[in-house]
Amino acid sequence: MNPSPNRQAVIVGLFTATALAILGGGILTIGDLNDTFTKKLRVTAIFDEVGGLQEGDNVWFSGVKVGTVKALGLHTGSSVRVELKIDRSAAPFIHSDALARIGSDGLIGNRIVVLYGGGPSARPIIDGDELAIGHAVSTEAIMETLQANNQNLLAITADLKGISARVAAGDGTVGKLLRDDDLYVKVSDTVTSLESASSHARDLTASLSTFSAKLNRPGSLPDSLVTDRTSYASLTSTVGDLHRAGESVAGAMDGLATSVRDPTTPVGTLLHDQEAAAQLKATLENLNRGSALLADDLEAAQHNFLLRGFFKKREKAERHPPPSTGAEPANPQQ
Amino acid sequence: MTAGAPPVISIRGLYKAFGDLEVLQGIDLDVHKAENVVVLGRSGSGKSVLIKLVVALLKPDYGEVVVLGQHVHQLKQKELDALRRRVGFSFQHSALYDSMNVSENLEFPLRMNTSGLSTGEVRDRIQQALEAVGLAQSHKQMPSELSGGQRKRIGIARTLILQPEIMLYDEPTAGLDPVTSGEINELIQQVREKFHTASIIITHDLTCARATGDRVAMLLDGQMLRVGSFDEVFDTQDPRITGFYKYNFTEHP
Amino acid sequence: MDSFAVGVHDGSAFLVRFFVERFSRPFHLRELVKQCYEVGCKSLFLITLTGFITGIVFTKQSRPSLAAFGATSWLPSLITVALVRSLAPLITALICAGKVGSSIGAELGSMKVTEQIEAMEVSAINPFKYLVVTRTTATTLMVPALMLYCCLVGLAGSYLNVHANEAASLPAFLKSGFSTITFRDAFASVTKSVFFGFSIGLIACYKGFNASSGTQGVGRAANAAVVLAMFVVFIEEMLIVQVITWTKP
Repeated sequence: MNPSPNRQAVIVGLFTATALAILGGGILTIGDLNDTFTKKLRVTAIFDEVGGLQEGDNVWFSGVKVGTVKALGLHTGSSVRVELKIDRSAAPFIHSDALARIGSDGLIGNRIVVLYGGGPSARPIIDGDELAIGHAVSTEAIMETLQANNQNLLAITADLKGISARVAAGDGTVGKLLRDDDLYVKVSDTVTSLESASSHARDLTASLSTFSAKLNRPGSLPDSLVTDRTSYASLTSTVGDLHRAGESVAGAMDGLATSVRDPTTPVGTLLHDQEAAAQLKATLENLNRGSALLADDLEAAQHNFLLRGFFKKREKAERHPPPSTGAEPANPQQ
Repeated sequence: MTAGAPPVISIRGLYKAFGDLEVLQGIDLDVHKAENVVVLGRSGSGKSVLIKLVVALLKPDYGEVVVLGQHVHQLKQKELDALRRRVGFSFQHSALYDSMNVSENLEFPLRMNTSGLSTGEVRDRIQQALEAVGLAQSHKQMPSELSGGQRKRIGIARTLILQPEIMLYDEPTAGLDPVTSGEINELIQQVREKFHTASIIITHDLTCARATGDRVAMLLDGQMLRVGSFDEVFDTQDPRITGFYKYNFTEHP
Repeated sequence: MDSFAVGVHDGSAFLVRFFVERFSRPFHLRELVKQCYEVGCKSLFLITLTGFITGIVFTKQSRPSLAAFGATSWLPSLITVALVRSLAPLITALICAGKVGSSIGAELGSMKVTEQIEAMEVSAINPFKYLVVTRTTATTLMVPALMLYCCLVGLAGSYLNVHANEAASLPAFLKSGFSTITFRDAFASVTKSVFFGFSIGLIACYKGFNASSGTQGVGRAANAAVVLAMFVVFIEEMLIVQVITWTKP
């Protein structure tokens, strides 16, 4: 049996009110997410290229969403004028010297505009400001720096190797060294420069280690790295260089050790010189630490997911000779 | 009958066809105040069509119907509604509203047609109407719980509640047992006495016709064949009429 | 073909009559409330249950395809878009067409067949106003309301599934889900539902009001009401989506 007409009216009223509440809640949620109800100010930025940025994409500042892309259109030449709507509540923290660049949100995610930099010396942004463009830190640039560092390291260790080889090499030189004070001074100088060189190497490898730690942090690498053949190639060659550098350092160390163990060598004499010995010791320690760090780097590089494939492949190649043409690897389930 | 006073219902030259089927072919009929006129006819002879034309549920092809001095088919909707309030129509199957109980069925036309009635007045009017048909106890029943005779009575009570001046009965005894039919015939007579209504009773039940009719009209082949008292109408050798009589009564009264 | 033309003509006349009668007295508010109760409140359970199940099932079924390219974080927005834009209005309309359409079609059909509609007419009550206008208005108002419930419950079902599998929090789910929804979507869905509700009510009333005599006529009216209402719902869905796509800035 149905409830009485008055009860029906109450129930229908409640029913409708709830439905309207759902609608209202939905609209508020949409409005909140689209920031319809917060006050905005507009700033513009002119990019050379926006990489598929669209209207409605988000604007981030320090990783926080502070606005959306309002409009974009081609500007003079081939540049793109992008109009951004920034929440008024976020405006006091963004300074007028902040830079804008195009970034992306997640692995396959949308394009975003990232605002960064800017210091308290400049005033906060106001309506109508135009922001300068910062250049995206690309993986290629990082790789180039890394490559240059490695070549420097290689040159230094090659020098080191040459010097130590000459120290360890011939009788003539040993005789000279024993007799010639100048030579002794030169050796002493060499050791000093060797020390500074190795400490330089240590710094380098430390920065290398930081960089590779960064490499290991998941999600820090833009997706382009995955597909970029050039970067991959340079990375491979970098690793090769690193290997060679490591070998050189090891060779140098060996040479030095032999020289020091032989009491008849000028180095043995040098051992009497407390100061020189301490210097040499420090040098060796630095070198040791340097090569340990280098080993770490290599280890880290092996663990880096981008390079893992390379190492795996190499391992595989060592274990099995390359398969004959057309031979498919057997499916274990069949 | 009572000469001088104009007839309550006056039908002239009424013609109605459904496609090729010519149901009414020129009907003339007068009904006077407080008079019961029975229209007899075979099933499908257009008896129901006749009273539906009277309340403008159907439109005639030709002819005119004057009810209470008004030309039914020339009225505007509002005027027609006003006229309809003065006419009660008892349907063949009672046509009670299935979704409402008995008192809601009675209340519905009352509330819709009269404004400003208090709840008490409505209750009184319902009670009166139910008492008039002898079913004062069945307020809360649903139509589906009622017997055929009870439904008929409630249907009549529903029309009486608006205090009509004319009652139109469509087959009041159809599908009822003889005892119940007799009770309904009695009710029709009581209604006339109590409310002084003029009535048209459509039936093929001669017992009903004899019990309720002051005048009987025979509708055959779309025409009013014989009009007069019951005995006058059946005092004939026309096989179409005697056939009627023979089925209803085994011997001549 | 003739009967189709006659049907279109009668249907249009019925439609026009609805608007003429809708805006003239009396309004039969009590009957309207009763019909709202019948259409809205009595369908609520069915609609919410269906919506809930749809939410869960749709989420479950979409997961593998998204997981294939590691984008399960897109589940909420996918489900929300699907539910708000299309599924909720459509499911609500189809269920109402089935439940409400058949009941109105059968009710008016049996009233027609047993002369109850004529009885109203001779009692000086306009049956069109009392029966058709109230019922059509009730469906027009209640189907959008039911659609909103369907949406809410469907999202709840989806959230439960996402929460169980991806351990997403409710704010994260909503934020991700609603980020792709615009006012236009919400507006379009409500508009669609209004049209759906109106069509369901009017078609069911039309079929019932014009039921042929006999108990067979009642069944046929109810059946025809459901079939035609569902058909029209799909046609409208297509047309409205077109119009909304055109008007997109």
